[in-house]
Amino acid sequence: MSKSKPVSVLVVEDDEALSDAYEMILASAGHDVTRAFNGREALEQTEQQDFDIILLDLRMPVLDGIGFLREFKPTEHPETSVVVFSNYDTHKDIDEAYELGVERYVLKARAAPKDLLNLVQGIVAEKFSDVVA
Amino acid sequence: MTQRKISYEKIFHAIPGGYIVLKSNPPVYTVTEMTDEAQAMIGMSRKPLQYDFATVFSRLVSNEDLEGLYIKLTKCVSTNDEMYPVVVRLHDPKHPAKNRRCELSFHRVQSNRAGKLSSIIISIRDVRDLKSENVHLKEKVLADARRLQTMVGTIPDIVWEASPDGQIVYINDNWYKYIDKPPGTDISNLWLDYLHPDDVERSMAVWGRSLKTGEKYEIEYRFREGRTGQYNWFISRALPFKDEDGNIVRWYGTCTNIEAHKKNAQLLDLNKSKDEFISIASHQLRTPATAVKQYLHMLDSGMFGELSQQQHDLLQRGIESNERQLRTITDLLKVAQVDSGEARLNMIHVDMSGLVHEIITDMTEVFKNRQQTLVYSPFKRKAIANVDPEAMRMVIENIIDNASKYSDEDTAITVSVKIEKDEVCIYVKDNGVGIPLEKRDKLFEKFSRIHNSRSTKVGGTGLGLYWARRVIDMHDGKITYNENKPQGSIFTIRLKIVEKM
Repeated sequence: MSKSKPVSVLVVEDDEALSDAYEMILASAGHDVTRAFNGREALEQTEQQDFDIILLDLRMPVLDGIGFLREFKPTEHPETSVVVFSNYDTHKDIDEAYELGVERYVLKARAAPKDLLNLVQGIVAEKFSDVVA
Repeated sequence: MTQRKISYEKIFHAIPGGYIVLKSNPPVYTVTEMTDEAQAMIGMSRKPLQYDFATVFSRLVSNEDLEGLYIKLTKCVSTNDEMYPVVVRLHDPKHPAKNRRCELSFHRVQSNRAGKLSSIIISIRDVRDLKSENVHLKEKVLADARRLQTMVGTIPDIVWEASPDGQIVYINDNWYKYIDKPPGTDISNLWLDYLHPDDVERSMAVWGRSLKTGEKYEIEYRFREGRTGQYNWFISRALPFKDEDGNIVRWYGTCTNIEAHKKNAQLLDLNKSKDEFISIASHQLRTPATAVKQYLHMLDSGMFGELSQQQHDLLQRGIESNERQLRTITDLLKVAQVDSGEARLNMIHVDMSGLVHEIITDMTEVFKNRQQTLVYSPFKRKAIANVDPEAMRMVIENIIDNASKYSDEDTAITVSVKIEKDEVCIYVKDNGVGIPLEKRDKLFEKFSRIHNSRSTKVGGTGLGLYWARRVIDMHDGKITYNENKPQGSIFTIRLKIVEKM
């Protein structure tokens, strides 16, 4: 995988082991990683900084992913790509996530580290081509 | 005056029924009047009257009966007692050989208040018809009773009858069978002895209320089974039977054994909590398994230093196990979804031959890796069915993947699409281990696992085929198993065609 322009990623994941893993993987590619362990913390982070990408789990304590999306309103943040990175959710949640403006839905159990990096690279490439166009 | 008398006579003659008026002048009794019907019965014209009683009846009855009639007549004349009718055989005046059974009753007519007897009225009634009617009625009642008895005997319920004060006056044999006592054993309060101690107070209260108010009685309680000593749940219902004035005459009730029903409900509950448990446990297991996956891959990718061949091999073993674990969890979750009714299909018109072609193309690698031959010739026509393409793809992939997994290297797996009548059929044939006869009927059930030379290696969850069947069911289709001769399996998926092209 090519190391292109580093991007800022907010990892919203309540499982510490997973969160640590995602941070290591993304940092290894030179990305700037910020972490939040629930939707509330994620909202606080987004108030302080604009992220290129938000990796969002849905099932979380305090404020879950859907709750975060309702308040964050991805459609009002075109500069940020929100990717749901979650495990086996209900159709209702998935539908709602899309309706609230997420760009992708990834089953995290299927994604190996290189898939995560490819995903980030893919989003960056799209953004870059947008800029060129 | 004379005119009035005549009209009275006319009226009298026309009275329906056989009536004869005798003038009493013992020992002479003279017939003074008779109704038209009486006249027909005894076969004598009204004129001239003044027949003697004996003259009239000696022609009609046997000497023995005549004697009896005289005794009756004398009694009627001499006493004031209530007279019971006498039944005699009356000859039919037109057909002397024929007899009719007639009932004769004697009534006193007093001329003044002092009670002096002036006349006697004899009423004659043909009882032959009455009797046959009675017999008919009696038979009908008996038949009804027998029918009811048979019905009460056939139904599996306990049927009972209680007096308005709540005493059991009848209970059918099912009760005695249940308590294991000979039929007819004292029934008054016996049922209380068989009621579960915890249910007695409640039952008495409900029954007492119904007796007081006349409201429908309905309660669930437990009776002890005589033979086993075990308590079973019953539902008991009773309705009052009221007379014309609305007073309760009887209570009719039934007790139905609902133990199986109760058990079933408990099982359903249990099954539901099991499904919930599977769902929760799978969710809980999935996240740590996903984390393990990340760390194993990070190490394996050399992110933290180059690995020796052995380290790499060991990590590969870990990665394979982790993948199997994740697959199992995914299967469990998929099944939990279809079981809970949460799974939802997005049905669209899909060309099944096209879909199968795509799946085959994507799976070519799989067969190559396992050194198996895939026999497949594309179906040239389109067969449009209404399906959820994602779910259907997973089902077909699952069936084809199974065929490959349970087959040896250097064997062939045949996939074909056909249109049969209004169905599109997808056949997946292999020459693998096959399914033993005794396992076939449970093949599509949950956790159906078959132990054979491949199963340990393959590590199936026993959920794939169950899930596939559920998904096909949701498409109103069919998935079936047949054995392949001389060995192996044939799985067939049938779906209704919307359109052929």
